[in-house]
Amino acid sequence: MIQSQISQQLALMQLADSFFPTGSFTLSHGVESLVQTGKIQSVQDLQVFLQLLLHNKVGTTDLVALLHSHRGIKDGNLEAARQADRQLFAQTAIAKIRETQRQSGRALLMVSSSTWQDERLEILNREAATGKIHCLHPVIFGAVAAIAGLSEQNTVLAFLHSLVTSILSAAIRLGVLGHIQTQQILRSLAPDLEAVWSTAKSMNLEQMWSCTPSIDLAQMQHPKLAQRLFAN
Amino acid sequence: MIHDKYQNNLELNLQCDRAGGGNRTNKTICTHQYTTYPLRLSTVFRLDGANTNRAYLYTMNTSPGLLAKDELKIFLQLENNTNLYLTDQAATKVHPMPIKHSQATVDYQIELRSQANLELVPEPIILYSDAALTQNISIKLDRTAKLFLSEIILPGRLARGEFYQFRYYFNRLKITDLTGELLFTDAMHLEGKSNLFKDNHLFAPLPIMGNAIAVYPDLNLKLLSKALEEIQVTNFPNLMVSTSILPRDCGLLIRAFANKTIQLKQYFKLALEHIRNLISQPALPYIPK
Repeated sequence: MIQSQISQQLALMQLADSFFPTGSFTLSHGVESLVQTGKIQSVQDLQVFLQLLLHNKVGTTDLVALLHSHRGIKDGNLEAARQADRQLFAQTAIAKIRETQRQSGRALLMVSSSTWQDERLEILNREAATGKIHCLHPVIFGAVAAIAGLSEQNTVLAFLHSLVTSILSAAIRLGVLGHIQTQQILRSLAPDLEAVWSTAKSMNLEQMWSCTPSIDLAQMQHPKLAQRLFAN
Repeated sequence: MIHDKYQNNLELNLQCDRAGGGNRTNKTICTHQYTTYPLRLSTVFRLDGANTNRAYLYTMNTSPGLLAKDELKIFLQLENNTNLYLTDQAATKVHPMPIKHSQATVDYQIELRSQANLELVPEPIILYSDAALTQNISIKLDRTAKLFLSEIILPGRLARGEFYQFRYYFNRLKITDLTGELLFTDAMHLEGKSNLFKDNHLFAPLPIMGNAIAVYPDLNLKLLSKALEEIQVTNFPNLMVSTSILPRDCGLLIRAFANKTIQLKQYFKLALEHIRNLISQPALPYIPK
C-alpha cells in the first residue's frame, strides 16, 4: 500500500510517542540501579550512560534485530521477524531485560493489532500466545513500523526517540535532572542517534555485539534492589 | 569423529574407559590427541586423589604469546560420561600488532556428549599495546552435559600503566545443543585505544573483567545464582559480581570485575568449588602452575 508522506509522518509520531501504550514508562534500563548505587549523580553521568547504551548495545544489537524484522515484513517474509526474535532472545544474556522486552513487545503487538488490523500482526499475536515467538520489543517494533508504512530510517528514529525519552523520563522521576536539562540532553544526542542508525543499517544478525559492562552489572543487580520504582 | 583431521593446532578426543569386568575404571582417557606449533598438551594428570574419573590437562603455548596473523584452532570432543579440567600454564600475552588490519584469532570448537563435564579455566588474556584479538568459541552440548567456562581480560599491562592501549578484543561465544539449536550466544567487542568511554566509571566499574558461564542442568539456577553472589559478599568485598540466568534456563552468566587478577581467579575458584560440592564431585584440588 502506497502511503502519503503525511500519513507516514503521523505514523512515525504515533509510534514514537510515549502516549502509545507499551509500558515503556515502567523501564529504566539500569538507570535506577546506577542512581541508587551512586554511579549516576549528574546530568553528565546520564548523558554518558545514554551514549554508551546507544553506541555499545542498542545500536549494535536491538536495532539490528529491528531492521531485520522491518526488512522481512517489507519483503513479505514473516520468517525474518521470527529469526530476528530468536537471535535477539538468545543474545540477551540478562534475564530481566529479556522479561521486560517480552512484556513491552506483547503490549506493543496487542495495541498495534487493534490499531492497524493487519493479518501479519494477527499471526504474530497468535504465535506469541502459543510461545512460538518470544515477542521481543525491538523485533515487534520493526514489524509494526513496516506495516504502518514507515521507512527504515523513520522506524529507527522512532524507536530511538521513544527509548531515549523513556529513559530521560525515568531519570526525572529518580531526581537526577529536571525537564529543561532533559530537553538539552535529548537535543545533544542527535549526532549519536544518527551515528547509531548508520552503524545498525550496515550490520546483520550474525554480527550483533554489545559491550556495556557497568550497565550489564546494574541491570543484573536491579532485581535485588530493596526498593524499586521501575521494572528494570 | 574428529573433523578435518590435522586441520587444528590442537585436537583432543576423550572417552570414558568402560572396559568390562573387573577392569572397569570409568577413567576419562585420551583416545586422540594432536598438537602442532605453537600448542602443546600436557600428559593427563589425576589430581582428584582416589577418584580417577576426571582428567586434568594443561595446554602450553611454545611461542611468546599471540602474534599478528596467528590463527589458532582448537578442537575438543568429550564423549559420554567424560570429565575434563582444562587450563593453560600461564597468561596469554597478546602482543603488539600495529599494522592495520593485522590480528590474531583463536577458534575453539567444543563438543560435549551425554553427561560429559568440562571445566575450561584459562589463565588471563593480557592485551598489550596495539594488540588485536578475535576469539570464537563454539560449543555444542548434549542437554545433560555440564560446563564451567571462565575468562579474565586485562586491558593492558596495568602495573606498567598500560591501560586500554590495545586495538580491540572481540569474543563471540555460541552455545547450541547437539542438533544445532541455538541456546545462548554472546558477543563482546571491546575497543581499546579508540574507546571513548574507557576512563569513565560507567563503562567498567573496575579495570579487570571476568566472565563465566555455568551450565548445570540438574541444579536450581536461582539458588546457584544466590550462592555465587554470596561468595563474593562474604569473601571478596572489593570485587563486583553479578549473575543472571541465561535464555531457556540453560545456565548462569557470571560477570565480575576487580582491581587485581588474583581476586578474580580466587573468586572463580571458589565458585567452581561450590558447584562441584553441589553436584557431589570431588573438591577442586590444588592446580600446580
